[in-house]
Amino acid sequence: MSGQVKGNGPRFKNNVKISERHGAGEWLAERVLLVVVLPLGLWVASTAFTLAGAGYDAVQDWFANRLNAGLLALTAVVFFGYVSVAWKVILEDYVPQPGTRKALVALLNLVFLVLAAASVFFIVRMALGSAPLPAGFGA
Amino acid sequence: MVQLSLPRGSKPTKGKVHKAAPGSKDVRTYKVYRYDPEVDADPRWDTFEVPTGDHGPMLLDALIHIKNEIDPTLSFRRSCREGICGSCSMNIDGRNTLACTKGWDECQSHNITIAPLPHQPVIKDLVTDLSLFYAQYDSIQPYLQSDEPDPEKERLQTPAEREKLDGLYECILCACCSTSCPSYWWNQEEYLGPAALLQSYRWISDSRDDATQKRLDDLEDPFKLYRCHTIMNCAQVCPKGLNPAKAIAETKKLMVAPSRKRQAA
Repeated sequence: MSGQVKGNGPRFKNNVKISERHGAGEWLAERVLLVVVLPLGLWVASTAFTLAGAGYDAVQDWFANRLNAGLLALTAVVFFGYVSVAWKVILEDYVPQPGTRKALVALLNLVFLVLAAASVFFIVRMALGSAPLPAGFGA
Repeated sequence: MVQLSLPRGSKPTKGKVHKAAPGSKDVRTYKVYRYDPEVDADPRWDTFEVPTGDHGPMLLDALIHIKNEIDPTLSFRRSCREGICGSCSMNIDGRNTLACTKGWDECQSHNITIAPLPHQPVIKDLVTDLSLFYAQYDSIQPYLQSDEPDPEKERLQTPAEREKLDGLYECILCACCSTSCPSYWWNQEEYLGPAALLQSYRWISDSRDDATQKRLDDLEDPFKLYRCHTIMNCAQVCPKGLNPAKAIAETKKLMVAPSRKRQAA
């Protein structure tokens, strides 16, 4: 048996997959994102503990601090980035059909992108205090 | 489509019971997986009661006794009977190992279950089809590739360079590791598995081999290499005490090393 192609999926030679020549970047990204998200996550958790029970003004003051808002936005982006990479690995493990797998990965990437963008948007809005919402998003 | 019922050949039934002679002493009960896909509708568990005094100290001795004296239709692979050839790898009491190096007295209970290597097509009884496993081994090009002209005698290594191969070259390709790996169970068509990756790292680590970059390029793939999630079953079951998971982790580190030079696809 020589080179074989199974549908639009991976290419095989003698029943063994031919390398796609990528994967190292994703593996490294997964680890770097985890290393970054761990301290940021601890910082968010400790902040939430500190702010628990504080009044609206105190929370808004906290968001008004550019460093706080910036770090929180970074946490949201890194967190959803990590979750996206982690879910890709899970889907690759458990979804055998390459087409379905790719579609699900793309869908989840879109969902996490939207969630990250929404998080950053609302953090910025809180940081700016009275920034208006776009039409259709209420007051 | 999701398969809601078990496929043919995956649900063993109760098989024959071969009782020991009345008055036999120190009897062990071997529950052995039996299946001939060309004849049997379903696999079955046959039970053999065997006095330990009838055979040698290893489980392979028990199987040979069963085949010689009780049921000659029982099929299993064996050759060296000393843990070198890797032929008699099978699943004993839920753990992959070599029947020739596992003593029956090492088993916790007097009821010992013997099954073929998991998640491999069964050819007959304890004999599995390892064609894909060998094709994967073949794909990593398990031989020296040097840019240097052939020397008159051997290619020399320093003792330190030779030491790097310890824990790698001893692999006997018994497939205990690969067939104990859940990632390999799920994705063996695309994932190379611990045995092939350990062997690949053995050549990557060899100071005499000059194909390191090509070997790394051929491994760089989300499935071929990166399906290893460090589950560590491979290291737990290896009858030679090797650690394929560590070899895979070292390969992953080399993949992102600054010294890595990618070659044109």
